[in-house]
Parts: sequence; C-alpha cells; structure tokens
Amino acid sequence: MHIRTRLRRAMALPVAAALLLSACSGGTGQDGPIVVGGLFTNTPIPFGVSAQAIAQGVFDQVNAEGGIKGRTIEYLTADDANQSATASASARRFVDEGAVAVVGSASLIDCSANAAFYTQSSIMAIDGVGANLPCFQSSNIAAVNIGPFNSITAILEYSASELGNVAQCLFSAPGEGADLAVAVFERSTGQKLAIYDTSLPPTGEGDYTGLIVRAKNAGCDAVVFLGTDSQSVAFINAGVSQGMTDIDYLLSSNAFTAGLLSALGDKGLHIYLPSEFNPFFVDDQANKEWKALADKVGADYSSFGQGSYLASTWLVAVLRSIDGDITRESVTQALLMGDPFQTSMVGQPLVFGDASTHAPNLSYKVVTIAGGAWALAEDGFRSLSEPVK
Amino acid sequence: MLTISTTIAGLANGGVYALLGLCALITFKLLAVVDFTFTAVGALGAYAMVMLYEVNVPLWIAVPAGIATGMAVHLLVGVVMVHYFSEGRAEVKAAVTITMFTAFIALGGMLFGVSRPRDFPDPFRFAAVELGGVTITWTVIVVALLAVLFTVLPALVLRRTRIGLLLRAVAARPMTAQLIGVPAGRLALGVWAITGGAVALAMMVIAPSVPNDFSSLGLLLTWAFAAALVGGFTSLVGALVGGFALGALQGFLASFPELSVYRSVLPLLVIVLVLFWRQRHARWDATA
Repeated sequence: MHIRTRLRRAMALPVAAALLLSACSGGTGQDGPIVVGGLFTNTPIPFGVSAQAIAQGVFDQVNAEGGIKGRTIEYLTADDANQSATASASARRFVDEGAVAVVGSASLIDCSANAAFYTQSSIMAIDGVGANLPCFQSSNIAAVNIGPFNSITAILEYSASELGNVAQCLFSAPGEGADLAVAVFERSTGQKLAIYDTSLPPTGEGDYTGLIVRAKNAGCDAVVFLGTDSQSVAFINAGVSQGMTDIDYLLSSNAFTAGLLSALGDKGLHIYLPSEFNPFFVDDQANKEWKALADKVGADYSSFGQGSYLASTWLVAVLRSIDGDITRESVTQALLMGDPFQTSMVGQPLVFGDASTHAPNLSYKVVTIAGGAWALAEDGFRSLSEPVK
Repeated sequence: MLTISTTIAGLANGGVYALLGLCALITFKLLAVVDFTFTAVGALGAYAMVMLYEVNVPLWIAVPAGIATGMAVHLLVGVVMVHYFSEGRAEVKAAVTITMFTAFIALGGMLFGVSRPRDFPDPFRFAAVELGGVTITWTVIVVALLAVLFTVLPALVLRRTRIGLLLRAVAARPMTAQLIGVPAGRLALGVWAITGGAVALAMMVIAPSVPNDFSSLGLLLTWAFAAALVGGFTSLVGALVGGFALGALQGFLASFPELSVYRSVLPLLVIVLVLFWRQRHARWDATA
C-alpha cells in the first residue's frame, strides 16, 4: 500500500507537468492537427447552425488542399444550448484540448459566459456573430459583424443623413446597448429622437397598435422598430392598418430574413435595414466564394454564414502568416500584431490588434425592399461614426 | 386625446384575447380539463392553412383543411386524455397538457421554422370605421364578432339543447353519466375535435395582426388564460369582457412613456387583484 502511494506520487508530478505544458502551448504537438474551437447556440433555437456548417466547410476545404504547413485543422465545436454553464464547460474543453483560437462562433451566450476565461487563458476568439454587448467589450474577442447595437446607430444615421428624417421614433426592448447606440447617434448628428421607448417586452406582445397610434400622434417621419422579423411584421402591419404607409420603417439587422420579405414584400412600403456584410442576396465577386461553399455544405444564404466564413478565412490567413510553430501563443501574437485582413465582404480591412476592446468591422450596407425583393438602397459601404462600447 | 386613442386601439385588439380566452374556457367547461395545448393546436391548424395558401391553394380549400387539422390534432390530444387520464386528478390532466404543449411548440418550430413569420391572408384588412383617431379594420370587427359568437353559441348549446345537457353531465360527473348510459368517451372526443377546429379558425383570423411565428402564436396562451381568469374560469361573458378589458388596459398604458414598460405586467397584476376580489368571501381555513 505504502509503495503504491509513493509510486502514484512519483508519477503524478510528470503527468501533471505534461498536462500543464500541453495546456499552455496549445495545439497537439508540431506535427498533429491544429486545434481550433467554435461555440454555437443550436438549441433550443438553431441560431448558429448555418454558421457552424460554413466554418466547418472552410476548414474542410483547407484540409483537402493539404492543410497549413502540412498540418490539418481540427475544428472542435459545441452547442452551448444557450446555457452559461454549458458554454463555460465547452470553452474550457477547447483550451484543455489545445485549441490555438476560438473561431466562427455564433452563440447567444459565449461572450458573456467566457470573455473573462478567454482573457485569463490568453486565447483569442474571432466570432462570426457577436450577438451582444460583451462581444464588443473584451480584449480577447473580435466579432466580424458590426453587432446589434452598432446596427441601431447605423440605421439612425442613414435615416437622418440620406432619407432626411428629422422626427425619428424608436421602439425597442430595454437594455444598455440601445441606450448607448442612441447616445452615439445623438452625439454624432445633434438630433434628438422624437420618441425613444424601450418598453417592448422581449417575448413580443399581441398588439402594437397603441405604439403606432403614439408614433402617428408624435408626427414621426421614420419609425425604428427593434425586434425579431416576426414582431417587425406585426408592428408594420399595425402601422399599415392605421394608414402609416408613407413613413420610413427602419429595422434591425436581425429582421433581414426571408420571412420578413415574404410577409411584407408586396406591400410597397419604405423599409430599410442595415446589412452587416455585403448583402447575401447580391451575386457579385465578393460573395462568390462563400456562396459556393454554402451550396457545397448545404447551408442557407444568411449573414450568419457570412460572418462565420469571414472569421474562419481570417484565421486561416493568420495561420498561414505565422513563420514558426503554430501554437496558441504564436496565433495570439499574430492577432495582436494587427496585420489587416483584406476582404471585399465588408467595407474595410479587418484588424484585431492590441486594443482593450475590438470592433473590427464598422461598415454596413443599407438594404431595402423593392418590387417584392431585397435590393441595395445604395451601392457602396457606409461607415459608422464611432462604435458603441 | 392620445390616451383615448391608444385605449381605443387596445380595446379593439382586446378581441384577440377575448376570443382565445373563450376557447380556453369552453374546453374547460365542456371537458373539465385546463387545456394548455389549445393555442398550439390552433397554431398548427392556422399553419396548415397558410402552408397551403402559400402554394396557391384557394382559401375555400385551405381554411377547411386548417380547421380539419386543428380538429384532428385536438382529437389526438383528446384520445390520450380520455383513454389514459379520464379518471385522473385535474392537476395531472393539466400537467399532461402542459407537456404536450411543449412538444407541439418544438414540433411546430421544426416544421415551420422557429421565428419565421408568415404572410397570413387577411381578407378583412380594410378600414371599417375611424374612432377617436384610430382606424378600426374589418379584421378587428370580425375578431370581435367571432368572440361574441363563441360566447353566445356554447351558452345556448349548454342550456338549450339535449346534447348540452349531456355535456354538462359528463363534465360534472363523468362516471355517473357513463353509468346511466351517456356515451361519455365519444361525447368528450367530439368536443375535443370541435374545440380544436374552433381554435384553429380563431387563430387564422388573429394571425395577420399579431407576431405570427409559430411559437409567438402558441405563447398567446398566457393572455388567453388571463382573459379567462377575469371570468373566474366559469363565466363566458366574464372572459369576453376580460379580454377586451385587458386590451384596453394595455392600450391605455401605451400612451404613457413612463408606464408603457409595465404594459405587459400590469394586466397580470390586475388579474391577481380580480381573483382576490372574487375570493374575498372565501374562508381560507375552510376545507374544499
């Protein structure tokens, strides 16, 4: 018994040391695959399903072409089920299994659950979809989309400068992000909103006519409604019933869906929303490669897929740029160096860098509905005056 | 003036809550089951209709097909309830329907997309009348009329017809009714089917004016129960009035920026107060 205990103690030290070393270095040795993590909310709602398929597709393609310096990429993914505990456990698994970075994630909970852990573990995350404010407030996370709150500033600025709207009314659910976004808009334009109402219940409600009547009464020439596509359709339908067909309806980027188009496409309304990337309905050179990949992996064309494509191709470029060993340290170092990643899917080169927070993409295109289909309101990318953070 | 306008707007839309509240109450009165599945069943019926409509099936076929879907699904719920839980306690029956509700919402999400809105046909969308600066559409009037119909018709059937008498007997004393030869099981299944069809029709009329992705339609359940509770889960007229009152209160609150945020909370508070008021003569130490 005594000998066995001594033996165990003797073995415990080198085993622990080996584990510690592998955890610190990242990767599974210099010949094994390069391990990369990706976290997605796929249940109870399939938020990240298409993003995951696209990111996996990018890495499969790289592997099929011979990998990076002869090493394949192993993409560790997890469904966090919108649960903090699951998200934390998954992130820890990525780090334990030697991930060099976390990439392509489209999760509703990742940033709030794991931002501190990523910093503590010195691992960088390039998110495909930054779903909430913590994704834009961490030194170790850079989301390639402009984010829900920058979207609010974006559409308000467009409405004021291009559509000439003065009396803008905004309805949203309560939250710090909306307050910050409106503050940025008011600072950059000197305009005040005619109505700023953050009383929308997060689960939606039966009827929006009361709010519409208020907007009508206040003489709003543009109404910003920040809800899901389903809530936006109900809100706009209530507006149409009350004869508000000539005003501009401005929506958030999460209403940029096929469902919204099919429900409102033929009504001849003025609907505008910001697209966080070169819009997915455009068939041009910028969209050619990710659309071909989406077709190959059977994913829908969506901005989530675009985000995760951008994030993964960005990481692949970073991995290719590293001269020495590809480890967590070298990947983190390369991202901190901030070499710009050139892409025509957004309006500016993407840079990670060593800032305390990241918003690499501040460009957007405004889309509208014309003749029953999505259309560009204008050709080029616009840029936000300043990020919400 | 703004307050009057938003209150009128809310009142007009209260028909939605009233109609669904009545559906909840009718099932309870006829079957003695607090049925949590009915909004999801109605949503399945309405979605069957809209899926057909989207592939250009004419409404005169799509609407009956949707109603038939609602009837079939609710009948299925009824078969489970009648065969396995007819002798069960009320809370067990309610728990079973809650479980089935969750399953239906998941199923609907898989079949029709989790948050995808649909272009429900709205043949009555045109303005009917202008009231206090608010345009009342024919849809609003049709919903309100349907709510009145759902109040009057079950009351007439229950009070004036032989089948109504049998239904009351089955709801009150299922075992006794069966012993004296009332075909309780078949009657109950018939009621499950008919209420399924009725709620599917109600959902089709409501869907164009509310967030109509599958889960949002299913979750109208809470407002339906709230309306039914105003009538103490016994009075059809109470549920009718309750639904409109809930809508009016929401509309009233929408006109005050500082109160607006509470408009989805305050009506529920009112329900609690109504329940306290109704129970004011109850003796808490009395045994049931």
